Amino acid sequence: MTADVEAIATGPGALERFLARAAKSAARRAWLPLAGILTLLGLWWLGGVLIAANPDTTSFAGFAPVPALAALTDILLGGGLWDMAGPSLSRIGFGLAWAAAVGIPIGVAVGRYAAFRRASHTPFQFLRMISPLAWMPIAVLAFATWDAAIVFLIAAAAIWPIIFATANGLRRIDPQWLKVARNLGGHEIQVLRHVVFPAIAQDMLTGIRLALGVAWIVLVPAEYLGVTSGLGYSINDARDTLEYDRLAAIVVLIGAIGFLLDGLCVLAIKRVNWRRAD
Amino acid sequence: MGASIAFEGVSHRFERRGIPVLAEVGGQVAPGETVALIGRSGCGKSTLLHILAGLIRPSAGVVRIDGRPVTGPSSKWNLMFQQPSLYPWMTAAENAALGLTFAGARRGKAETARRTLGLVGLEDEADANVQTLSGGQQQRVALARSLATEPDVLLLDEPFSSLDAFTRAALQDEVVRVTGRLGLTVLLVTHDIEEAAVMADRVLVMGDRPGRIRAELPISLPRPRDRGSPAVLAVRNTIMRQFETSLCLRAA
Ligand SMILES: Nc1ncnc2c1ncn2[C@@H]1O[C@H](COP(=O)(O)OP(=O)(O)OP(=O)(O)O)[C@@H](O)[C@H]1O
Ligand SMILES: [Mg+2]
Repeated sequence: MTADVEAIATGPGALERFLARAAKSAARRAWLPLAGILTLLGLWWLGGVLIAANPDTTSFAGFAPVPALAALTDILLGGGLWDMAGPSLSRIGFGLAWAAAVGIPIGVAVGRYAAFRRASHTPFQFLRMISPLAWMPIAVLAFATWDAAIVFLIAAAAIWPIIFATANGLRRIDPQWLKVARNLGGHEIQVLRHVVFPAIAQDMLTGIRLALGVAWIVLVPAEYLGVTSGLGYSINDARDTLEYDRLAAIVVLIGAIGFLLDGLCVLAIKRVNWRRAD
Repeated sequence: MGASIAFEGVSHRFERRGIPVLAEVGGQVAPGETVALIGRSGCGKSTLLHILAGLIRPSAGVVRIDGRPVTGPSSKWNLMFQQPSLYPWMTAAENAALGLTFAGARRGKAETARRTLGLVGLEDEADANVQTLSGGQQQRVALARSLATEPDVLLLDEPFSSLDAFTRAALQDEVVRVTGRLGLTVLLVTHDIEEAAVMADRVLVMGDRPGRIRAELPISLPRPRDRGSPAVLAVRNTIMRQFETSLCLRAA
């Protein structure tokens, strides 16, 4: 910082030199990510050109970046964003909350009690491998509303990473921490609250981050059915009305919102991380 | 103030049909007394200390602290381990206050923790991330954590053995000073004959397979003691000889 101030303070042209240096270092840091984004846009544009050039597919030309980004601007400026994403986010929120409420205690039990771990290993690995969407017919029968069925499907997808990450965190806890806590007169619940949960907060949030990833993927196909709101429904709706530019815009939105939510998780994980790098 | 420790007929084996680790161990520590327990590696010193602290239930025998049988951990006595095992997500003061948190204290917790850190010379590090402290400072925080609930009895399981010689000597003096001032009863397990000679009123020599008290040696020198003084060196030699004789006696 002081070096920067000196650079500004020393004579004519120093400010310009300083700004040029700052711009150059920012550009150096930004150019690789920027190149990645531009490549993606370029491929998208190329795809659009190929679709437009092929007489069989010209009617899908709305998928190209220019019309899609125009439709995206319409959605963002027209206020349609919240109508579309709000219901989806609420389903994701409830699904993740259920998954965490059920998955964290199970994860603690798996990590803490060897007998439970051995007993549950095979059933859990078996259940985990079943695509949550395979539960769809059962979910529809079991729940009164489509909304509840979708929340169930999301929770069914999200629970596994939460269970396994929690259990993993627990098994990496220094046993000495538990002994010291017991020795200081801590009861089981106090030890959980003051030692175990802070110790594994990062692992639990990492589990929730992974859970969010799969939940976000399951959400869209789950919303294809029954409900008349949300991002998945909107995609289907745009297909039925042949609004391919709008469809592509929603695809972009799904990616962007997922990216943002993941970023929030990363921030939360950074906040609870107590491990020092050195 | 210190409390008495009395244990009798303490036997322990870890598995139902495993080899006995302790056999009929008995002894007493008077209120305010500091007793050192020495013995070869694996003879069962840590096991005995865990039993005294209520962290392990012995296969047989009773332990009484202040006349009441020990059935589990309590804030009235505390076992301090070789490694500080601090909680890295807590500051030094929060670490020191954990026992008070468990005891349900609300008001005055932070002040007590700070005062206890002051007792071990760490008032300036109260808000420090414990991962930035040196090994000696971390062990001081662990000592403050053990002292914050104002226990009557301090059980020490080789608490200085992971420290360098200078830090170790400084901490030995620190513990002598603090426990003397608070009048605590101390039972110290150590591998270090000098440590026993500098800190203890009495030395118990433990034999192995199974663990048993073989000999007892009073040290009637006032504290604090000077490590280099002829009296302390003489005590060291006496402990060493006693240690060897006890083990030879067993071989004979
Ligand atoms: N949890 C346990 N399960 C089974 N055996 C154990 C357990 N803890 C200790 N032992 C055994 O009991 C014996 C005494 O162990 P202990 O840790 O009490 O020895 P120690 O005297 O403290 O040794 P050191 O001086 O090396 O610390 C050893 O033979 C050890 O292998
Ligand atoms: Mg030991």
